[in-house]
Amino acid sequence: MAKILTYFLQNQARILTSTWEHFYLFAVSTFLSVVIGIFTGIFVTGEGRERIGRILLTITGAAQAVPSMAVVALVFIFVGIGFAPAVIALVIYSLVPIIFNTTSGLLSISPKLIEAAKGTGLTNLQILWRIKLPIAVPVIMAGIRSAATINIGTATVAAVIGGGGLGDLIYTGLKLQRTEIIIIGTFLAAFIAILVDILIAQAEKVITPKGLKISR
Amino acid sequence: MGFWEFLQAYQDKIILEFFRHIKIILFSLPFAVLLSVPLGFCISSRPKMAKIVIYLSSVLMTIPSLALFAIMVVLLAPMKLGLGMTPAILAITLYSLLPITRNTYIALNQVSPKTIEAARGLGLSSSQILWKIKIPLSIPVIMAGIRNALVLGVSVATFASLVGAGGLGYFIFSGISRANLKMVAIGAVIVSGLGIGVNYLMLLLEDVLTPMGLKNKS
Amino acid sequence: MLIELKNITKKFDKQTAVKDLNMKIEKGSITMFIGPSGCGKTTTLKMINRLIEPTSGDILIHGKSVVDMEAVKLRRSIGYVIQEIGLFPHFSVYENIAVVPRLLNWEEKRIKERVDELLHLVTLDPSYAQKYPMQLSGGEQQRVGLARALAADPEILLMDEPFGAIDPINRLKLHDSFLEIQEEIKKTIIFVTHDINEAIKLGDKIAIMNKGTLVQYDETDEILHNPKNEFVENLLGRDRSLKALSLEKTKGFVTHEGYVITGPNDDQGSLREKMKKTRSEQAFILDENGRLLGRKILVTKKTGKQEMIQDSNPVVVDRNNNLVEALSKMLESGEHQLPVVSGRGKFMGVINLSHIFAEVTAAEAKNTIKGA
Ligand SMILES: Nc1ncnc2c1ncn2[C@@H]1O[C@H](COP(=O)(O)OP(=O)(O)OP(=O)(O)O)[C@@H](O)[C@H]1O
Ligand SMILES: [Mg+2]
Repeated sequence: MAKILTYFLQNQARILTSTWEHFYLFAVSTFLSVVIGIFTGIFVTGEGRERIGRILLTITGAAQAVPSMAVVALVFIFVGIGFAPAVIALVIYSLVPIIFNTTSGLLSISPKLIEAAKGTGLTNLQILWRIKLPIAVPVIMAGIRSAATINIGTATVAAVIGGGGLGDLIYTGLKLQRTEIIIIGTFLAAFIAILVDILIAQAEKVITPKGLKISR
Repeated sequence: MGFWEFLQAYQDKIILEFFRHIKIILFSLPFAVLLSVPLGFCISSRPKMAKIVIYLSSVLMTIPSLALFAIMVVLLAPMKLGLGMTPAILAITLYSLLPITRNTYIALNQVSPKTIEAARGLGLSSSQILWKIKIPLSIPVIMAGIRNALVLGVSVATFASLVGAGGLGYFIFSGISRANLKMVAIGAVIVSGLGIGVNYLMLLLEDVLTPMGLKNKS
Repeated sequence: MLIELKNITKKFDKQTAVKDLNMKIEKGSITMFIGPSGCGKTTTLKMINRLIEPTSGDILIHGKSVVDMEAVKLRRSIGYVIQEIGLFPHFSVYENIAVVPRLLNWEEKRIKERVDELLHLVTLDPSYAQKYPMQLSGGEQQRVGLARALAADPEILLMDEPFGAIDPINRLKLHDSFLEIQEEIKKTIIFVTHDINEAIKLGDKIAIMNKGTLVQYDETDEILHNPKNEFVENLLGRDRSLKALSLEKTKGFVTHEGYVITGPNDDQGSLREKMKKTRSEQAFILDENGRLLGRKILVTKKTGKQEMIQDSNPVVVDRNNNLVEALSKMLESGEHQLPVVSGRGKFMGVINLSHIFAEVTAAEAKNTIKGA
């Protein structure tokens, strides 16, 4: 305990930087993958493209079984070391659940409902914004939530390829067999992860349309 | 050295680490199942407790895998078990808790009250209802939980090499620190294939175990 | 002529779904489309609001070709009702009904008034506005679907098996209120159904389709009395004369004799006098709005003494029930005179068993002459 405190006090600056780097890596990559993922999901489920959507669903379904470290490793091979490769690895890996959920959420809306919307006189854009997306929100948010969890976890791993962050602390601790460093790194990483999870769960509650929360 | 010669030179090592990787997962699996399935059963009729258990295990799940490994090392160090298989197995077991427990819980509760009422009306006892109705109807969902746990296990076991338990992570981590791209590639490709393969095999098994009447005909 | 289909043909790949269809639909009428599954009913309907474009031919509304109108605008001016799934689950009942008015940028105050008005029209309590589709029964959802289609007061209403997923008892209730509503709104309605009884009960005209072509298109009683060929005969079924009876609505047989009307607090003695004088067996109790509250019956005991019995839950016939329905209610309840009410429970008069029998005899005679 004393050791932890000493290390913490002596290395405040480094710990703070690592925490900030960690969070920054997480935020940038999650933002990018949410934007790219939702956009892709919308695109591949557009009228006449449902088949592409289904194929992508199969691919992303299988890709969810790829270990995070493998993606980090592959990005290392092709892009190298540093912050940018770390972001790329995180974006690629967390895109999978977002694309999967957005696509399956949009594809699972009954064609009858879309027809009713069309027959009522909504334009394609209105159907997307007012009908499809709000109905798919719970599924899309679940995808974002698991992407965020994955990203926080993978951000730790990305330290191996120079992504920095709290993973750096943990690796150093493991390498030097310094328990206090491991504990500080782990505690902070877990703390951020849980915090982010709680925040997203709250956002999910706020953003889900009321009519969809009622169960029969 | 070309890629092919490289593969040959590393052949034995690849096979060794591949089986170590599988060994770690297979050693964790019984613990995970024996802990999580009964836990799922236990909370299936206690909604309040279920909420707490599922919440706690989902918190566990949000802890980054590398961090969890590190915690195991720290916790087990006083017992001189900080390195090797033990932390790896423990970490994977803990991670499996959420997918399997939650799916068991959901599976048992998704059986429609009407079905159970009908069974009771036919004169089945509580234990008969459990064994003849609830469990067969729940198996596909529980199996999906086990599949998720296994896939997660393949991923988490990559870090085992950091605590001296070996596995396919060896190629990735050593490769990166030696800047040996071929090594990294071998590790990444094989471990990805393993993840996808395990997922696929488990899907097949789920299909076999799903009662005929529950499969959609499409 | 409001709607005119001219040489309409629709091909999907090689398959012809609709072949050279010609028909004219009058303003304010209900036209029922019926025919075997896959005969092209839905396809025809969807070509009218351009959810499907015809391969060849033209559709005119008010003499103007629909292809010259913007598809989205056209659809906003045509109500569209499909099976229950068509309500938007994330919108409340209010928001569902408000969809088109909002697209048309109505003021919120006007929308609110319109929603209230429509809920009243489809006989749903105003409190339903804040409910969500999942909280409604199938029949209630269907009423909301109808209200939504009527929101912007379209001239034309397209309905594709709107009552298809509803159980027979509730379907009958919906039919009655549907006719009641149509009496008020007088829309031009095109209605696809699988149920010949529904077609006969609701339709002013029936269009019978088979394999993409129009087999017969006529007034409902013309079709019943002069089916064009065997296909139509089979579709109508063997009990045609009974079905002809179902063409007649109760409201055409209401009489205003042989009963007495009373208020809830009227004097017993004078009521008895009045009933004796008019030789009535029943007195109907109405509230100040003319709604039926119950009835009083004069029963003669074995001792010869007469006694007044109150019945606060009498069997009633809806004025849009057809004669077959009224008859079966009489047979079930053992009454030979039943009160007739409107959709909102207003007392209209009574229907007598003897009048129905007279109609049956007349119909039999008509068919016998034709058969001979
Ligand atoms: N989008 C489409 N693509 C290809 N074929 C179609 C399409 N829509 C309809 N068809 C075909 O056109 C024919 C007519 O279909 P339609 O939906 O109009 O039938 P229907 O009379 O409404 O039948 P039902 O009573 O079963 O609703 C059918 O053979 C159907 O398979
Ligand atoms: Mg149809």
